[in-house]
Parts: sequence; C-alpha cells; structure tokens
Amino acid sequence: MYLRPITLLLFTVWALITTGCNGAKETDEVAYILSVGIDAAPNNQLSITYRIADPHSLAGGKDSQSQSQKSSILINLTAPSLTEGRNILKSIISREPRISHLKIFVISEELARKGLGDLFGLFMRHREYRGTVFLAIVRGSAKEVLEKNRPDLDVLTSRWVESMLQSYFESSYFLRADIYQFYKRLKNESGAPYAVLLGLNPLDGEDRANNEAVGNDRSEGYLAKQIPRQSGNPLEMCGTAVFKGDKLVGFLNNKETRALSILLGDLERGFMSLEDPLVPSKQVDINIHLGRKPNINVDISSTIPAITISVYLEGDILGVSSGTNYEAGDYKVLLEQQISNTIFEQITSMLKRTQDLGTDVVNFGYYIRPKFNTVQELENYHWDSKYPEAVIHLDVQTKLRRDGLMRKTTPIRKE
Amino acid sequence: MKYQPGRMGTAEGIGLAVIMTINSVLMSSPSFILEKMGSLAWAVPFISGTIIISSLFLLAHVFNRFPGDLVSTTEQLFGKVAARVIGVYYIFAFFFQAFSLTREYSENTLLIALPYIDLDTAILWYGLGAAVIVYTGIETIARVIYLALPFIVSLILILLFTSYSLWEVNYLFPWQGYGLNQVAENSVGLSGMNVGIIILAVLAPSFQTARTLKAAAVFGVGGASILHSFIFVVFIMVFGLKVGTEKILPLYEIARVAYLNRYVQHIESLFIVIWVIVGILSITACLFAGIFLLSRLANFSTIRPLIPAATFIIVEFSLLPPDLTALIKLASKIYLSGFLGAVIFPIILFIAAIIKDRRKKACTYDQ
Repeated sequence: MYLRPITLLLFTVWALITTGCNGAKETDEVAYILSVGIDAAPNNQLSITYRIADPHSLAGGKDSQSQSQKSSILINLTAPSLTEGRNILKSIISREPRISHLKIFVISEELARKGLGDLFGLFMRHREYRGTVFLAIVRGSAKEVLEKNRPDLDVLTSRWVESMLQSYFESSYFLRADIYQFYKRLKNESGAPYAVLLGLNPLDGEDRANNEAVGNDRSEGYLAKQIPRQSGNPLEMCGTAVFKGDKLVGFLNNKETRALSILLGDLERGFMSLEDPLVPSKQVDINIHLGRKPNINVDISSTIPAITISVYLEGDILGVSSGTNYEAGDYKVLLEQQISNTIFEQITSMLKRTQDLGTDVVNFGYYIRPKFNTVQELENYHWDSKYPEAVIHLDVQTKLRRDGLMRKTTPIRKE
Repeated sequence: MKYQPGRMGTAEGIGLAVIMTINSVLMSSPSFILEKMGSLAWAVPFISGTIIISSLFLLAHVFNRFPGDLVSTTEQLFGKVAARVIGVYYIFAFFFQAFSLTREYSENTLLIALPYIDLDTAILWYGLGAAVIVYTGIETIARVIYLALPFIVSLILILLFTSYSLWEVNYLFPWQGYGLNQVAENSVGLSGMNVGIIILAVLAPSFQTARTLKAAAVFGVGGASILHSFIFVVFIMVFGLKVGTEKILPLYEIARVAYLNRYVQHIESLFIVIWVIVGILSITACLFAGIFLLSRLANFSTIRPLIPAATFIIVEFSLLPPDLTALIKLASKIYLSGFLGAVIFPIILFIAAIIKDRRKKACTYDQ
C-alpha cells in the first residue's frame, strides 16, 4: 500500500544526493595553479616555480595595476619530480593545489636540451594536465620568467599568456604550441616537435640580433631576448624552439618562424617592410596572408626524396615611402616579385636550418603517408633519416590584391 | 503463466540495438582496435556491423519459421537440454557484460569526473540506478533509450566536430593499416563484442514480426556502425596512430583537446553527461536481458524478485577484478568468445531451421 510513496520518496532523496555538488570545493579552498616554470637543478632535481591565482584579490573595485601585481603569488621549490613538487607545495599553502586551469609550462633551455620525455609521461596520464596547456622554452631561467613577467594590459598573467598565444597569427613571429601537438609530433611517425620561445629582454635598447636580414626584408631576424627595446613587459615571445625527439636542438628566429607558419598553412596575416625595388634606400610596407594553403608534394620514388612546395601569397600595400606608383601596371609586378623573392629566401633559410638540425618541423613526412599501403612500409622508410638529404624545390607567387585607401602614390614635392 | 516482457516496435528495437553496441566506443576498445589494425581501424565497425546485421537476419528467418524467442525456438529445433545450455550461455554473456560495464563505468567515473569518490560507492550507485530502471520493465527501458538517443548522438557529434581544427586527414593513411588480412581476421572476431545485440532475439516475440526485428537490426546496428566508424575516423585524425593506441578513453580525450576559444573550453563535461546516461542504460539493458532469460528458463511469472539478488551479485562481481587493466584483459578474452553467441549460434539455428523445414515439407508431401 505504501510501496509507491516510499519508492517516490527514495527516488527523490536519491536524486537530491546524487546530483548535488557534495564533492565540490569553493574557490577559497582551492589554489589554482596558472603557470609552472621548470628549471634543471643540481643532483638531477627540478627547480619548480608555481604561479598561483589569488581570486580574493581580484574581487572588488581595485585598480588594475595593483590587481595585476597581487592577483597571484609565486612559489619556488626543488623536488625530483612534478608530483613530488606538488606534495611539497601542499606543505606550503593551505589550499588544495589544482592544475586543471594551468595555462602554460615554461621550461628552461638547459632542461629542454637534456630532454622532456620524462615530463610528458605525467602530462599525458594525469587527468588534471590538459593537452591544451601551452608549452614554452625560455632562454634563461624559467623561475626568472615567472617572476619578472609584468603584463601591463592584463590583470592576470594567465590571461596574458592566453591572449598572446591565441593571437599569434597577428604576426606569426611565434606559433601557438601546446603539449597536445608537441606529444603528437613526438610519438607519431613524422614531424619534429616545437615550442614557443620566451626570453627576458634586458630593456637596454641594444640590438642583439645575430641573424642578418634575409632577402629584401628591412629588419633582422630576432630570437626572444634580442628585440631592441627599452620599456614594456620584459618578457617577450619571439621565435620557435625546435626539437629532435624530446631534446631541444635549436631555435628559429621570428622570420624563420613566419616562414614555418606559411608552410604549416597557418599564416593569417603579417606585416613586412621591404626594400623598395626601385629606390633601395626607401621601404615598402605590405600586409601578407596566404592566398591558399601551400601545395606540398613529396616524391619518394628515388633514393633521395624530392619535396616540391608551391606557396601562393596575397598582399595589401600599406605604405610606399618612395612615391613610386606600385599600385599599377609593371610596377606592381615588380613589387610582387620583390615580396616573392624575400619570402622565398626566408623559407629557404628556415628549411636549410631545419635540414641542418635534422628536424622535420614542417612535417613533410605527413605528406608521404598516402604513398604507402601499410604502416609497416611507412615505418620502414625511416623518413626522419631521409629528410636532411631531401632536395627541395620551392616556388613562391605573390599577388597584390588591395592598395589600402589610396589609389596611387604622388611623390613628395621637391624643394 | 510465463513473464511477458511487453510489446515493442522498431523505435524501441533501434534504441536497444544502439545502446548494446555503443559502449565499445565510449570505452577503451578503439585504442585496442587501432593497435591491431592501424589506420584502417575505422572499417572495423562496418565489417562487424554487417556480420551482426546478417546474424540477426538469420535469426529473423528462423523466428519466421519457428515462432518464439531464442530459448523456445532452440527448444523446438534442438530440444530442452540444448535450449537450457544456450539460455545459460546467454545469461552468462549478459551478466558478464553488466558486471564488466558496471566496473568499467565506475572506474572511469573515478578517472574523469569524481576522483575522490570510493569505487564501492560508484559501483553501488550504478547498480542501484540500473536496478530501479529494470524494475520498470523493458518497454520503459527501450522507450527511454529511444528518447535519449537523439541527445546522445547529438552530443557525440558536437564533441567530434569541436575538434575539427585538429583533424589531419593524412593520418588515415597508409590506407591498409597493418594489412587487410589483419583487418579481416580481427573484424570477424571483434563482432563478438556486440553479443549484447542478441537481446533483440531474446525479446523477439515482443517485436511482433520478423520485419520489425530486421528494421531494428538495420537501422539500429547500421546507424551505430556509421557513428562508430565516424568516431574512429575523427579519433585517428586527431591523435594519429601511435598516440591513439595509448588512450584509455578516446572520446573523452577528443573532448579534452578541443579548444574553441577562451570562453569555450573544458567541454568534456558534455562527455560526462553522455557517459552516465549511456552507462546506466547499457547496464540496465544487460541486467534486464540476463534476469529475463533466467526467469524464462525457470518459468517464473515475474522477474521482480530476481532484480535485487541479480543486482547484488553483479555489484559484488564488479568488485572482484583487482584493477581496470585486469578487467579489460578479461573482457577482451570473454568478448572473443562472444563471437559464439553473436554469430555462430545464429548460424547453427538458421541451418537447423532450414533442415527441419525441409523435413517438415518432405513429411507433408509423403502424406
């Protein structure tokens, strides 16, 4: 008689206790780790630096400058591994450390050169580490980077990291790199892993570029730490760290990184300042973007593979200081040729560097997959050993599509 | 009077067919299949789905000639003892599936959503949830599944499409994977993983006509196979072969790497919703099928008194394997024997039905 009401009651109680947040934690019970810096320490130890959010300081109407400085705290410790580091961290902070909102791993160059394979076991297996966490290599100390990063426009350093890497396509002088793509390239049959390159700029205005300008580009190639400037956030993202297996083997500067992004089919837009083809002392400013994805074909029929790359770029004229009428006729063709030659040389320089390093960072090996019938055949081909000898044929075509808001350029009146 | 499961149509059949086969993609089987077959793993659902549909068609033909359910038809063809043996085999198959699913879903709930909950508690909740739904009967279960199906399928498709920017088509090559022979051999064996689909034959009289059964097989198993295959394709394109074989929960991992923008990320919570719905409903369907067969063999007039006891046994058995890896190893061996129930028995029944039919006709002519 009472069976139905009792069942209904039980059901209701069951629904209430199983759908609630009885295991939930309030934000003031949890320490959200936003960035982790890892340096090599003596005796095979790791020096781990945690940037932990302090949500309490973000509440209220404080000014953004003071919020920026106090919105997070920094803790550095030494431990043999990240897991042990987290245990030790719990001996320092009262809250439960949580990594699920981690935005970036910053790893020192020294540690990266030894190899990152040991770290990745944990990143991939533990549920709190996500594939979307960004990965950066720092020229110097990761601890120092986390300490000295002072974003001016963002309240949280995590927001700075996310904004920077989500808008990489504005210049393509660095690329978005996360642990998912790094691991995929590390384990699958082809493609060398890469990461974003970070560095702390001394802010003394000195030009430390050790790469000359390639082609007709007016600016040199910079790595992080080398940009000549005297103010702003000392931390800068510029260039790419290139790996062979899990070990860091070299860097690509900002121009080579942009060349890489062209071949990856990622270049959305980027400004170029080129020598004026007719008046080399003057410059022409262009905004370039990919007209279509690059066409890449890898011929493996002979012993030495032949890679044929066809790049088609489109551009908009932004500025012509010489007054030459590049908007029309043969002048336009001349300028298009100038852009193509510069990009050609930048891509060639990047490819030469990666071939010298023996790292197929463009992942040309990806294009040979349809040429094999079985996985065994693909694995037996050993693409990585073939790549450094590969012959590369590159063709770059550029078409200037728009001239901005000006129909033509009139020369400046002579005195 | 025997227990009558109720009357169902094509929609309910489709629901049951999908829920009995969908688990394989939510669990770790895609990475095992990928390891064995390489980049052609996406073809496996098509091959095993075709085998399962053919097997259900054979059974539909048998039920046309010798009306009844799996047990009574076997009795007509082979006698009482054989019917009991086959009945016991399928009871074992359904109960094993119920127990392994309970443990796997509970373990994975700990892994992805509630890491601090006790395993015993998780298993108990899954068991209790399933038991309460079994109490309402198969008609309700099947209709709930059918109603939930559009949501389940839509959520899975949304999850897959959110990873669109990570798709790399060339990972589907080399097109033969580890070789066509590997694919052919393993696909046939792996159709045993879908032994649960025999629930349609166990409940055959509820589907009224063989046509309903066939429609449920074609649309249910066919639709599930297309979905499975698409999940494999996306999984391979997102992770590639080597990384793909490492993953325990492929669909969950796809959801974890999806990053739409700063505000839309961590979308695996969608997956957890699918996870719990599908988990509870699958365990329920398996539990019901096992209990129903048990009552059918014992000629009980109701199944309800068996529900608490069977659930208790399932929950207890779920706690036996020492860890998830041991369970997956055990399950992969048992599932291979599922080939017997999913394919071999239906073929034997079909052959026996044809022979008996011919003899019947011969006897009629003699008279």
